Amino acid sequence: MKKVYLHTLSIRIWHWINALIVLLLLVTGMQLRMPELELIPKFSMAVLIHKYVGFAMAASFLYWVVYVIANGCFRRYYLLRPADARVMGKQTLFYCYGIFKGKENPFTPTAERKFNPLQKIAYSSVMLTFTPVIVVTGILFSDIFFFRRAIDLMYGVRVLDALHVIAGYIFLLYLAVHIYMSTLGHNAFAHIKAMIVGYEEEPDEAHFKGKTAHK
Amino acid sequence: MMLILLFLFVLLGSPLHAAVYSEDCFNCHEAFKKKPIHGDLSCTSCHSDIKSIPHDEKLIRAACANCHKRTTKRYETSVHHAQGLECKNCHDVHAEKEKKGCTSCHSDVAHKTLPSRDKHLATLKCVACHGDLDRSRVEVTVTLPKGATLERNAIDRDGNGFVDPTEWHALEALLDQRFKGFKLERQYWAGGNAHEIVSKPATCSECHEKRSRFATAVVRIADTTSYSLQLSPWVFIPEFPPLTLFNKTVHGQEGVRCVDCHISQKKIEDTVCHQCHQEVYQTYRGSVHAKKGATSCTDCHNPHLIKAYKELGAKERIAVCSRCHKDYITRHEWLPNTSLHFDYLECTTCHSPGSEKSMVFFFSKKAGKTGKKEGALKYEDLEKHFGGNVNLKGLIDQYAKNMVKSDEIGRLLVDLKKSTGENIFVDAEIIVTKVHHDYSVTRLKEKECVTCHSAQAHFYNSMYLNLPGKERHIYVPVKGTLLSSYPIGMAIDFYLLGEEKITKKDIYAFFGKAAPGQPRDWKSLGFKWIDFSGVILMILVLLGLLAHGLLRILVRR
Repeated sequence: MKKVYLHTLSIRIWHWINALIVLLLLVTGMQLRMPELELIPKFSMAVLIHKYVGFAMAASFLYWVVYVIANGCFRRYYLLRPADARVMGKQTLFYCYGIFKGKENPFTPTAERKFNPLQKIAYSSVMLTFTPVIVVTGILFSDIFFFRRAIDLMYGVRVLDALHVIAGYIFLLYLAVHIYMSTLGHNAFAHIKAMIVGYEEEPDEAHFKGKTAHK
Repeated sequence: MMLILLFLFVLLGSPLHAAVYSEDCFNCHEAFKKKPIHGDLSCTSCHSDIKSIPHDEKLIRAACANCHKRTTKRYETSVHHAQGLECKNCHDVHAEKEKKGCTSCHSDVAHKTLPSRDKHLATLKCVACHGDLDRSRVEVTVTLPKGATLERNAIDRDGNGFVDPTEWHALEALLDQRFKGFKLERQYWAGGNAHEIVSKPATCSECHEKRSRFATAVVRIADTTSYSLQLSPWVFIPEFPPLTLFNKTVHGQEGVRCVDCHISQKKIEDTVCHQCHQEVYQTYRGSVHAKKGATSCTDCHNPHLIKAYKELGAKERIAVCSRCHKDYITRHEWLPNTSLHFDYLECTTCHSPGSEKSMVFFFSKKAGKTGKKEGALKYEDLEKHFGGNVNLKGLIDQYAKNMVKSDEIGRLLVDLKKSTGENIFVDAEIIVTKVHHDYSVTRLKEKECVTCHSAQAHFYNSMYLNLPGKERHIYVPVKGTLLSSYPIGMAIDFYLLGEEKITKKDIYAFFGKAAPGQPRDWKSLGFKWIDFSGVILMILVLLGLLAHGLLRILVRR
């Protein structure tokens, strides 16, 4: 086993705070959307939580933008490269087929290359498209009267609501897949542990060879 | 040398030298020595006939008018002058405290006939009613806690430079909520002259109806910057109807005479009201609102009000409740876009479950350039379009038959826009059209957006178009759902969310199990496709992940 340092302390703290924020927003958001669900005992409580945690989400997103883009993390980890195009198919194949055969993951995260191409696509679309959409529409919702002109420009509250809710559903879908994928490390909790302690334990080459040989 | 002597002789022999110094006067009139003598004047400034000491026994009376020309002139119009009072009756120029207040003579004024006597006497100076005022206004100063700031546009929400009663209530709520420890001072500033006390005091109507006194109000926000805004004086000085217009009130028209209600000098009691309003009185008397809050009818109702309840818009109706429930905005903080809701709803829309609520449409105007709402169209505006003496009944029949359809309203709207050349649009409010007097319910269950924001909302079954008549508003029933045909555009300021939320019925309808007559195509879903696709996708993804996970476990084993 070797230990690879993947996640800095600040990104780990951000990740879990953001996770809590998203979770709260999804639960309260579902309550607002479907009052009959009764996830939160008081509807008014759901409204207030959604509003204020929403502002926290905006702050959290701002932090991410400053942190990830300003210090070059974005270019290093998130930007798709020509080489990624070639491995993308392999990676997909691994998730759909190879994983059941006990094959080695074609991608091993290192401090230099943290994400495989599929992760890159998923993370950058969530962080650069859906989060901005949900944050901006959410802010516009916070005071329809104040932002009336901007809202009229985007063809009214109905369209605003549609955008916000579509982005919400995408977050929900993303979260399901994200949580599931986090169990795909060398053991079910490897990735999650890495996001807590920063280091990911990865089996060395021999381990895989031995395992295959054993099979 | 001779010249100098001559100069001295002339100088010493002149009357200038003969002037008597005040110090010399004090040798005899010692009592005046310690008191200030009318500013820095000397004794002889007023007692000008004293040329030398000792002076004549009889002196000419000092004439105030020599200096105080304008004031004496003003005083000549005063009731005090007419009574033969002189300056010295109020002003003792030799005394330490020069001015006498009104109460030094009028100490026992009972003001017995003045309604709300204590309130009036505590806030107003005598001149406010008894003087001929040059200027007067209500001055309100809001002092924020140290370091706090409050933006101008947070108070003047519509940006017209004027704080109307609704905006004032919103400000009060905001202060309670965000600026704990703020100070609010109110002053009824009367720029009157005590020399012009008039014989007859101001009538009630000068403040409460015609507003010739205290016609303006200004609020000064004292924070780190400090600025002032014009404010509606109605917030502080309630409006009274003139007796001359009583015949136009609902009571007046029903033939109620003054003595029918004013059976004694005391405040009107409920027994008077329930002579006619027996049923309503019984409903209300048993309610929590009556027991705990407003106990008598007149606590909420002004029997002299010219407008019937149906004539009042949502904002005016809120004003009735917010006289006591000042914190209504703070209390509804849970409601997203709180203030916006109160532009379209009244309190009893939610808090009177027994009442019938309706969606009431009306024509409204917007300012050409700014696009700011200018309020509902008035009868005079219709006159401009249809000429004098508009026959509203005929007007409606021209477009429909006692019931308007949405396209007919649309046609009238286009006509009105063309002929008036103004930016007219259809506005809407959800208000009570049949009042039930039990307001006890706070209705926790109603804290669900879909109660109103759905196609099933109760008020869609009761819609009216409100047209301004010459005397009364006319409510014409509206057929069909206006909003569904004009979601944005025609009723651009009345958005409804949540109509697109999906229900079981929609899903059945989509998959063909619909009852006959139910829509079943993709298009019929409208905005519901979002929830529809979202839920289906979510189910598919979860199933996919479940299968993947199971397979992993199976293979590993």
